[in-house]
Amino acid sequence: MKKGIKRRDFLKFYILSPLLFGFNTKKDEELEDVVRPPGASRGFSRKCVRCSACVSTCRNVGRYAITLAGLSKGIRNLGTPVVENMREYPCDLCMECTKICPTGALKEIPKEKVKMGVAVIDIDLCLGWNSDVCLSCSKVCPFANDVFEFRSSEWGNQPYIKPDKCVGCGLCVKACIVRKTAVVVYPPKKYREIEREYLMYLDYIESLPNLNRYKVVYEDNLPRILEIGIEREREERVLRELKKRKVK
Amino acid sequence: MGLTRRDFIRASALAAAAACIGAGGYLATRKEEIAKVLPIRTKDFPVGQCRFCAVGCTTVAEAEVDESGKIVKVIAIKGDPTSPVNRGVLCTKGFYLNKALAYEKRPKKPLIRKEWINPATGKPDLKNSPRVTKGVTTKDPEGLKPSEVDLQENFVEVDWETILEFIADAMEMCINEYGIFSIGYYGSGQLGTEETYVMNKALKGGLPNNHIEGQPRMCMASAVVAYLQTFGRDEPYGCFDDIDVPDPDYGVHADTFFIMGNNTAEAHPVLFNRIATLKHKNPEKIKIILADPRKTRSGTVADLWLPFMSGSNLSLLNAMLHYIVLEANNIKRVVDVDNAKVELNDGRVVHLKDINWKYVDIKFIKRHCNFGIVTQVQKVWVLNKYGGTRGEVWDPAYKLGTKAQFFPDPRKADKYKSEEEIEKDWWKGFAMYIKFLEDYKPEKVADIVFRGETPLKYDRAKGEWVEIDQAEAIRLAAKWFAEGYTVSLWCMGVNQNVQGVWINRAIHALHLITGKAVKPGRHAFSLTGQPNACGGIRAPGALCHALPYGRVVFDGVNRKEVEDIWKKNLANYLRKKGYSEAEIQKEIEKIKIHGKPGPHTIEMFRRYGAGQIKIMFISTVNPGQSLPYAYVYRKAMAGAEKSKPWPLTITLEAFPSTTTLVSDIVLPAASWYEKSFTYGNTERRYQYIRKIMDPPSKEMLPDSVIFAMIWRKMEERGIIPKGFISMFWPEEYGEDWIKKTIENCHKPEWIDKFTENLWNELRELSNETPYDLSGITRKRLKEKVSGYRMPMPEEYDTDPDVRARYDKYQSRITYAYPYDPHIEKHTKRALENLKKWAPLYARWVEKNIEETKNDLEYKRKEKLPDNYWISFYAACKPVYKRKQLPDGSKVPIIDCRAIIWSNPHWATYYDEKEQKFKIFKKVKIIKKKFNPEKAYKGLSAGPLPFDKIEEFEADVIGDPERDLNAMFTLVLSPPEVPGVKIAYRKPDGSEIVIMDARDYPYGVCTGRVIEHWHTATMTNRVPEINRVLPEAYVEINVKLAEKLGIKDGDPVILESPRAKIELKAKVLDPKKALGGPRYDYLFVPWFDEKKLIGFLLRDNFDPFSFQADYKMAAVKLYKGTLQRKQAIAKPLTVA
Repeated sequence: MKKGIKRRDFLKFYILSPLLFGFNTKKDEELEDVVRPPGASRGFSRKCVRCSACVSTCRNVGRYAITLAGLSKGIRNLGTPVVENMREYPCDLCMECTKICPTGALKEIPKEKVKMGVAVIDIDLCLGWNSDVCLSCSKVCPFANDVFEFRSSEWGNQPYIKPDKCVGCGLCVKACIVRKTAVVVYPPKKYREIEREYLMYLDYIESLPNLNRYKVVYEDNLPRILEIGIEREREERVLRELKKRKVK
Repeated sequence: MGLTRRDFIRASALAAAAACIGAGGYLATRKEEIAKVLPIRTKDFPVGQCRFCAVGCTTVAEAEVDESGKIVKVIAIKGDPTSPVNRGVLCTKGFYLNKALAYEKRPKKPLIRKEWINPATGKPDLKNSPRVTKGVTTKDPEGLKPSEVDLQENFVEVDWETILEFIADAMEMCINEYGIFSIGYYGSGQLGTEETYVMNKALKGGLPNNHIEGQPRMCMASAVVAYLQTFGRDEPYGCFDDIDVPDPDYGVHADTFFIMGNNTAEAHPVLFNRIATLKHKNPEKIKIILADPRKTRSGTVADLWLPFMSGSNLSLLNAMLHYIVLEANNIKRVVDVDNAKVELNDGRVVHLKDINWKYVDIKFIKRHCNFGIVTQVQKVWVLNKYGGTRGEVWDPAYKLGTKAQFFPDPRKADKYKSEEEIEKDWWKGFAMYIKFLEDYKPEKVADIVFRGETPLKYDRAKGEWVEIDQAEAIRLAAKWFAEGYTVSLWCMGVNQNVQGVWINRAIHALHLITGKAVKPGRHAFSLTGQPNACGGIRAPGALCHALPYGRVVFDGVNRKEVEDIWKKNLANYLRKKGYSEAEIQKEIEKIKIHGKPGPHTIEMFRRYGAGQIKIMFISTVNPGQSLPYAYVYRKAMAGAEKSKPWPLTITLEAFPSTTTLVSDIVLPAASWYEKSFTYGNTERRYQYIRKIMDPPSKEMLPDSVIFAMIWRKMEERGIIPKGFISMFWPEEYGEDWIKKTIENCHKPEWIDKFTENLWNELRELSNETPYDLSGITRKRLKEKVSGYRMPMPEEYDTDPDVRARYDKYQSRITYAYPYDPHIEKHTKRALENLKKWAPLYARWVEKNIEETKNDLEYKRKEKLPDNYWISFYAACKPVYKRKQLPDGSKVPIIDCRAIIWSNPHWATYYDEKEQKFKIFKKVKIIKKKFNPEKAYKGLSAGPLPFDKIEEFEADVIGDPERDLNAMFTLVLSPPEVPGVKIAYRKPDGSEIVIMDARDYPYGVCTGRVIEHWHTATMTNRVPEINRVLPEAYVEINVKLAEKLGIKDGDPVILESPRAKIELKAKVLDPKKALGGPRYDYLFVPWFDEKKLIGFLLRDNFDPFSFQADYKMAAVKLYKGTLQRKQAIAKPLTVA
């Protein structure tokens, strides 16, 4: 077995980790718990007057990325701008919204300084981690070379997004070739909460001996990637059926 | 264990994350969704080689099955983990292949355009239909309609009997009126080997008109010719194992990769992953050089980027050779060519043999290579006047002005009096080669190579790309190349070039000079584009000049070999059917191969446009999109002569495509796992594709069956010999054979037997040739999904030594013992032939082979097994041709020595007196007119069916040695140089302008992307892929974008002298992004049928291989939009 975390160690480590590090987690009030438009400054929700000028600007430039948060984002965020549907409408960092913001809640900053969130690749769903070669997400990334790292192995080209470099624009979410995307943008705050576990998980998967990895890929992940497809197709079939009945 | 890994992981690491997001979180919802999925019953079915690129990944189909185990639906295509090709890995195209095949709007019945229907009878009619009487057509040369809509709206469905009768009538009418040279076929490297063979056999031996081409002409032809001219046999000598599989003896594989003109990451992703994995594991040791005008995605693993100007490949490669041969060995110049004396940097004059060579593997080249020196190459422009849709065109034709000499020259092998004389000749050749390289000093050619762009080197410590000096970059590349165990990879970027053959030869020269050939991990590896280009077109010779397995139509001995096999098999078949000997004799007498090559692809379509060719068959290929300057050829296909049924375009397709938009008839083909056939990938591996399910409609037939039915009709009408094609039928049928065939051909055992009959004849044809695959029986192929590499001769079953060596090495390397299973046999045969007329020379060759056999020190140093030896046993019949012996027999001239060619980038000649290579400043201009009458007589090769109008020589304007623009009028590639006017001074002092690109300052290149397969007729039909990359865009370097004020996502217009198109800009910085073109170069992907970028390209081709240039067309670029989003062609002009 390759050096790294063994499953058992990982278990132990996982159980112990909250004890070791859990209390150290820095509670940063300033970190956003939703994905904001680019250039959101510190204390955004205090500065934002919910005028929705950014929303209309985004529409005017034909992007449709920014929407207003509903109740599901918490009462504190109600009516503030968020970038939610990245699968269809990611932010392409045109920065037009920052120019219109009347209060300075959104500030025009260099693109690479933007921090809307962090894109996280679900390596159980990603084709590149499951015996395929795919470049679709990295090709659309505006900072590709800086953000993407390929841990190429016999199991695929294994893309990894460097969290400190990713701006969270979500272009990769749109570009993911898996029917239900394998990339999600986590708001900065939420990313901080999952980061350690996620990285441990990456190491763990990478350190699996070949036979186990084979099981993970072929018996576990690939069927799951496929099942999602089937499920969706069935859903569509049912919907079509329902529509027909309604028409009748 | 109670807790499985999966549950644990789900429940803990990521689910915990999901919990953080809250109830609406992504992972939590997905978890619920997963829980909802009903369990289904699935089973894996091995299929064989993937339908897409030439890597040839072995695939398995996972299918939903019913209780009896029958396939309900294929859910996914997976890689076969046991396959040595892909080890379970696939790319996204392969992964979604089943979804492409499940596309609903595939043609399901034979289709004919509605204007062909006679309103009175309701049947297609060659004489009384609106198409003929009124000359109307719904074919769409502009490419405005979506192809699937066109297929639904403008076609009517007919049954197979009717359409076959119609096609047979049309062919008979055409042949009666114009003769056999009025029918053409454009095939595909995506068809199965057996499928293409039906057409090849019928057109070469049946009709016979040699009017057969295939898109490998546009893909591989340059590599083919270069392999033939260097090694005498057209196949890569190594294989994928060279990249990363430790060899069984010393455990070595490649550690340096020279990638030129090939975006491996996107075009051959699975192969790239093997390289990237190596690099990832050992980033310091593995060196990767990317030589490409675009820093492609493959650059993510590169250490050095050489951004040469597209077309300047040869200057770059020759400069690398200059460093390796001259600079690294302190050679200043050659002082005496005849006596091989050179002056060193310290002033000493020495003989070449006294130099202690660095980087140059003198033992290797001395023992196993000859020199082929191009002593003269003149720039020649030919104005071809075709008339019709192509009008007239300037073609570069430097082949007409090329002369070469060989050192030693095996054609005169009997003239040598002593071994010393041969050796002296060899050293002279080497001296001349060095003399030739003198002109390519890195500093001197840097301007031509890079034309203002700066090479980049990856600084691993800093993690960024840094600029380095141009000449130093060339030296560094050469140094890495010469020091490592190097594998070169190239593809379309090299082959699709008017100097494609010579660039290929230069790469081979680099490998031969440094001795990095036919050894494990050292390989000049041409990558193929098509899944079956090697196995289906190249080796079985399905091109206009070729015959199966290395034979050519213009060689009488070759023709006879093939005719004899065909005659024998036909006689046996007819005998079995009860024909009398007289009848048999009558039929086999008809088998006669025409001795003149047919027109190559571009020529064939130009003649189609000129109206000389009347009927064009097209299968599994999309020339309506893929031909360069596609517009004029679309017009050719879309023609509709009034009162005549020509031109008639008949397309066999499984999908709507831009070619069905200009087709009269679309015959519905079964695809991939709906039929069975054999593919041969780029590493000589043959894999059998199994039929696992039926096509959506019973009337969708395998292409092999469609072709065979058409030709069986021709047999009935006495146009081709009886039984010539119908002998392959697995069962005998009577009058109702069409009905019976359609009924039965979907039975797996029927189609399996049918293609096996074809395969067996192919094996027979390959037997005893250097391409021997007679040991790869259908039974073997069925047993092993991942197939076998050829050569695998019949001796595998009879000779235990051959078997043992094949089992150990699997033909890993050819031309080298012990890897090559039939090296002894072929070497012995070649030497025996040579001994018949040049015993002295043969002994010298033998002695050299012996020297390697006995040189243990060399072999250990090079990490080769002790029993290793080399013989290029096919080199080099295609170059030296044949020798007539006193007894009248003709033996091929093969001296088992590869040829190291000198490959000039610009027009040059060797001045014997001064012993110097000089720039050839006179340009030859020829004007000629196409003469259809000559073409109908079968004078099809090259310049034959033309009438010469005038020929004269013109002078270059300006001093090419000082003025770069003047130099660009003398370089042999690219033909159209952005920003440069190609003009010469005529003898009368006036100027002749070939083309003027001064208003078009940038170059445009077309190519592939990872998501889509070529013209995307399949991949565009997969929703998952289409949503990621629905349309083409243009990649622009950030410097150029800033200069022109273009922002990412802006609509921009690309305009070439031939057409313009609106595209979305994609601005890229090669230093930062995953890739990007050099500052004056643009890249447009090629797949989009709504953006036919092919309209912008020039249709010039390499005069040796006839492969077209897709990588350099001059354009201008500006912001703006056009009303029509499809490419808009300009009115036809000269050039």
